[in-house]
Amino acid sequence: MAGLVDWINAISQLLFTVVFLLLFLGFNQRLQVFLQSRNISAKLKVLETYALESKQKTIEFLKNNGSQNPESVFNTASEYFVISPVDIEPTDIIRRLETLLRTQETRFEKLVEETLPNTDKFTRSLALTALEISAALNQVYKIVRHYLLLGRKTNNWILIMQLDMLMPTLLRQAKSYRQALDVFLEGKPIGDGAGPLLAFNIVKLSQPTEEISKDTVYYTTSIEERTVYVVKAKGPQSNVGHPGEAVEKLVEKLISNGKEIGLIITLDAALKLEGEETGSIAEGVGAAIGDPGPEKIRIERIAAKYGIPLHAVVIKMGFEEAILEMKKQVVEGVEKAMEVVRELIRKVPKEKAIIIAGIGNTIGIA
Amino acid sequence: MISNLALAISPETQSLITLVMMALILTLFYYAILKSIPPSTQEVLTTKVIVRCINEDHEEQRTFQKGMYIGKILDEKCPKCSSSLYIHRIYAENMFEEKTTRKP
Ligand SMILES: [Zn+2]
Repeated sequence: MAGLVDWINAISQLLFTVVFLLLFLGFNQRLQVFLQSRNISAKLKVLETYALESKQKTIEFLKNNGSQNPESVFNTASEYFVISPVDIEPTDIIRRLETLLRTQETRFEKLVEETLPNTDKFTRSLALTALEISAALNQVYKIVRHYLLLGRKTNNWILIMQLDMLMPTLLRQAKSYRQALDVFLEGKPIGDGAGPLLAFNIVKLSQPTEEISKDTVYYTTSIEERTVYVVKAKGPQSNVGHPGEAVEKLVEKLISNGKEIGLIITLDAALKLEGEETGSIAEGVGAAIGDPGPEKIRIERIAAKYGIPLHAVVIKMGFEEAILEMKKQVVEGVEKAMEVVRELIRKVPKEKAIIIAGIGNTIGIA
Repeated sequence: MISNLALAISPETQSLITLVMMALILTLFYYAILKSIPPSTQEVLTTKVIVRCINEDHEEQRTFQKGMYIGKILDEKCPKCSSSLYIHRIYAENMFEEKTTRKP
């Protein structure tokens, strides 16, 4: 019996010494990298499922609406890239960027139009958004796979560790994109539609005065005895329009007609900080619009050109809440935001006109 | 190791104690890992559609169907004043009141 105890002691001593030595040889790190890369692989499988599911759904949607070549359309869209303009020479970078973005937009619209020739604008906009979402999911999957394989191949444990730490966030965002696809294909309003919803609340069921720029309309109405022009993307298709261009054109048009503009208000959904409440609102200054730049700068420039005060009202929500179904709290936030808008309008002299722009994707909101 | 320190206890008991302690530590470790995984905060959302009369004198709730959008004028007539009905709101509501969100 004593012999057995001695043996156990001897073996455990030896084991401890070996483990102790291995620690100095970086064994702990290797073990960690092994575990982490296994963890990444497991999560990569989930990303792959999202990418494949969304591809399947998109192709099915295209097919059901009469597309003859859904696969090739999907491949073109999912591999599409935009080369960002030269920024070490920033002169007219915004115009160059705008040209690129508009070109992309037209290309995608033509792509969908050609493959779905017998459908309405609403269905085509859904197809376009579905293509964009599944392209994004496909891209995320491919990039994560790239870094995992690269990290393994070059034995780069810093890469693996970073990737492992990023995975939960990536997975969460990918999951909301995946869910967003279903929401879009059903045509429900999303959280980002808070701006357009506020615009709708003001104009109700009236007809737009004019489609002032592509996919963007304006309405004429009055609030608190002042003339108000409401700009919004044209619904109910999935569409953000060109609110910057629309506001610019509208201001120029009104001014050339001898009108004076006392205020521009932009309304948009904004990302809340963790811990803040969904649907809470905030007032500020500037153009509340989340485009890469071209639309935003048009509003800023036109306001600066004629010295028009530029106010912003935002409705706060989380990233997932912005791209998924609009929640009750957001609807309530929109009603609260209306009070702020009224408050701002009352401060403008009665003879001056006011422009309100509801920014965001107007899917499911006429 | 432990056998060198605890002189009064027989070696067999010491080995046993060592094993039991190792098992205990492993269990605690496993428990700590389980605890560190945050509970999932899954919401169950239902889509509600609010239909109103254009004279704002009647309101009712519907379930969502494809093709519905805010501002759509429906074919039906208001039961009170027989004007048109339109879709006033479409939104998602949490079926269970917010148990999952904890205030810090
Ligand atoms: Zn009625």
